Order: sequence, then C-alpha cells, then structure tokens
Amino acid sequence: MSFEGFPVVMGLELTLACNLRCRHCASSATGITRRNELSLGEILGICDQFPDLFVREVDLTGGEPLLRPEWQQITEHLQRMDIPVRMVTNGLLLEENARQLADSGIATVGVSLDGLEKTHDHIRQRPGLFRQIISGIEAALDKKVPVAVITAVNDMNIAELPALRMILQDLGIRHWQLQPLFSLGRARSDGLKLSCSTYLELGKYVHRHAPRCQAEGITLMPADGVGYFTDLDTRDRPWRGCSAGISSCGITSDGEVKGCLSLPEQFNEGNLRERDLWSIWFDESSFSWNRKFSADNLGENCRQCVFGPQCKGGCSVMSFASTGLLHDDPYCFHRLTSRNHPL
Amino acid sequence: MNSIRLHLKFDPSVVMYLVIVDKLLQRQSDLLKVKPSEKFFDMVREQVISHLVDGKEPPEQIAGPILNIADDMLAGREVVMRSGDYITLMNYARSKKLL
Repeated sequence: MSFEGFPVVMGLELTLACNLRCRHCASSATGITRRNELSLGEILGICDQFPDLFVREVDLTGGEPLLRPEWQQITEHLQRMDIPVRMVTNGLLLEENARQLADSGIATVGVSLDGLEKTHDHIRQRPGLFRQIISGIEAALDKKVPVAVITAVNDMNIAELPALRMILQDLGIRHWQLQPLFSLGRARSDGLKLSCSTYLELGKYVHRHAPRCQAEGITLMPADGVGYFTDLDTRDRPWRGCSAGISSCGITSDGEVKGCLSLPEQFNEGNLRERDLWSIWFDESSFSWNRKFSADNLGENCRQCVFGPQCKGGCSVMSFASTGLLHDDPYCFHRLTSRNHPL
Repeated sequence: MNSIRLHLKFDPSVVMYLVIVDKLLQRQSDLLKVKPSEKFFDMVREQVISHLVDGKEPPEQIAGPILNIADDMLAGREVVMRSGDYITLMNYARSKKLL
C-alpha cells in the first residue's frame, strides 16, 4: 500500500545564521547563513503548499529565527491559512521583539535556558547572557507572549533542574520542555555529554516532578523522543516510533526537505526549488528509511527488545548521533532499567 | 462540499481517514477541520455531479474515490473519504493542472 500520511507538524528553518555559538549546537550554526537561502517570496510560496498537505503546525527555527527580519510576515501569512505558528529562539533578541511577537499572535515562543547562570553562560559562550534571557522572558511575558522554556539536558546541568524550576516558577513560565542533548555538530566537538545515567536521571526527574509541577501551574514535558515503555515514560500514548517523514517534516533555509530538522544532511529528500512539497512528500522513495522500516533494521541496542517492532528503535536523531545508525537508540529507559544493563 | 475533516491519528501504524463534511448535510464532527483548496473541491464537485446528474463515468484514475463519494451522498450519509482517495484525487488534479 502506498504511504498515506501527512506532515501535520512542519519545522521551518528561517536561517542558519545565529548570533550565538553555543557549545551544544547540533547545527554548528554561526553568524553565517546557508549559501543561497530562500527568499521571502520563496518561503511564502512554500507555505502556500501546506494546506493541501494538512500541515497543522509550523515551528520556526534556525539558526536564530529572529535574525530573519521577515519572521513576522511569514507568521502572519501562515496564520491567515489557520496554521498555528511556534518559534524556538535563543532569546537574545526576545526583549526587542517582544511587542512584535505579541502582535503576531504566535502560539508559543520556546526560549532556551540551559541551566543556572554560570552553566547557561558557559554552554552558550556568552557572559551575562542568562540575565539577558531572563530579562527578555520577563519583557515577553509582560506583553502576554506565550513563552515556554526549553532546556537541553546534559551531564553539566542535570543537577540544576530543581533550582531552575524554582526560577521558572517565579518567572511565571507555564511550559517547560526538557530536551536531551543531541551529540551532533558542536556538541560532539565541544565535549558536552549526555551519559546514560544522566538520561535516566532526566526520566526520573520528570516522573517525580511532573505531577507536582502541574499542580503548581507548570507543564513539565520531556521532548518527543524521550522514553520508552517504562513507568518513566510520561507520554499519554505509548511511543510508536519516530514521526519523521510519517507525520512530521522539516524544511531547511535553502529549501531542503527532511523528516526532522535535527537529522544531518544525508537525510535530505529533495529541494523545494526543484520539486514541490507534495511531490517530495509522496515520492515512493522518500523517507524510506522510516516508512519502510522492518524489525530487521533494528540495531544492536534494540534487536532483542520485545518492543522493537513497535518502537522502531527510538528517536532517529538520538540513535544516529550516538551510534551512526538508525533504529538503535541507546537512550532508552526500558534498556537502561533492564537488569542486564550496567550503568 | 466545502470542507474536509481529517481524522488525525498520530500513530503511524494506523491509516488516517478523511471525512468530507457536506454543507448540505450540516453535520458536526469532532474531527479536526482542514481546508484543501477551493479548486480541489470544485474538481471533486464537478466530477460527482457529472456522475450523479449526467450519468457520466468518472475518469478511470479517480473512478473509485468519486464513486465512493457518490454512494455516500446517494445514501444520505456523511461523505467519508479515505486519505488514500484524497491523495488519488489530488494527484489527478495536479496531473491535469486543475489546482
């Protein structure tokens, strides 16, 4: 049977240029844009293709999306098509854009905060940044911008989560997402690590604190690929495999289409300057690494697992970043809590 | 026909279904509302009417989906469209440059 899914969640990278040089950046973003980034007209033309494919949410990313001055036009264009827009930003330009963000009606602005002051400024390689971000968040919240905080969890900041939570509570943050570090790009070269024991601690932290956070008005959410198949897995429905190329998709700032923007460029499926999104999405050969998965594709970490066929080997990015293979995610609560696994 | 409701299941192992909500039927549904282009609806409407009113057979590539829609309408049911039928209709419309 031909594939019959739709890219209901779309990541849209506005530029690869960034005003920070974070040690854990999976994209290794710098101040430089990609060669030949899409023009505003090209981006709007791509957005016009979304309704036929039932795109239900667009996440603006980068690089730093606020460096692209047309972000507001793009947001408004999408909203005119009834497509909610979210943004992930490092927060450096949050304060000066707070009014425009509020006016744009954006659904959520996810701001990175990777630990307490010293840790955050170290990871982000910018002294004083933490205070700047806090000030930006306050300005945004003051203007009723729906701000969420995203923390890239690693060995350096895991112990700071309880203290960070208190700060977020004081700020009035309502959504906090914990994202395990991807060992890609600069994270690989700059020595930031996510050990299996830290990953397990992350699971335990969420499991232990999510209900209390909820009671205090903060929704504590692990990122999509955090699991699987134990009590530590807090998702509503059981994990059913990576959604890249199944129900989610990403577009880079030079028009390349991939299942997930965090995947490296060898997973590019086609360029929107050459073919339209419908053609790429429904091409028989597109995303075959995920759409045509069979249990035979499971790697060593997952081959013997009873959940393997359902789980499809976990988060594709975590798997690829850690092992160089797909369907072999070592960051798995089920695996790490099994009796045979030496932590 | 003026809108489609997509029965979204974020479970990749389950085929997704579309439900077309016919304005004439005025049915409400708790399914997620999505909006394909008016040109798509024009094409589908034209084919269904041509079949039901004029007795014309739909083009072979889209005969299945059009007959399914026509059957539902004749029976007074809410028009239900499989996502595969939607994709077939869209592929046809794209190939004929109707969109």
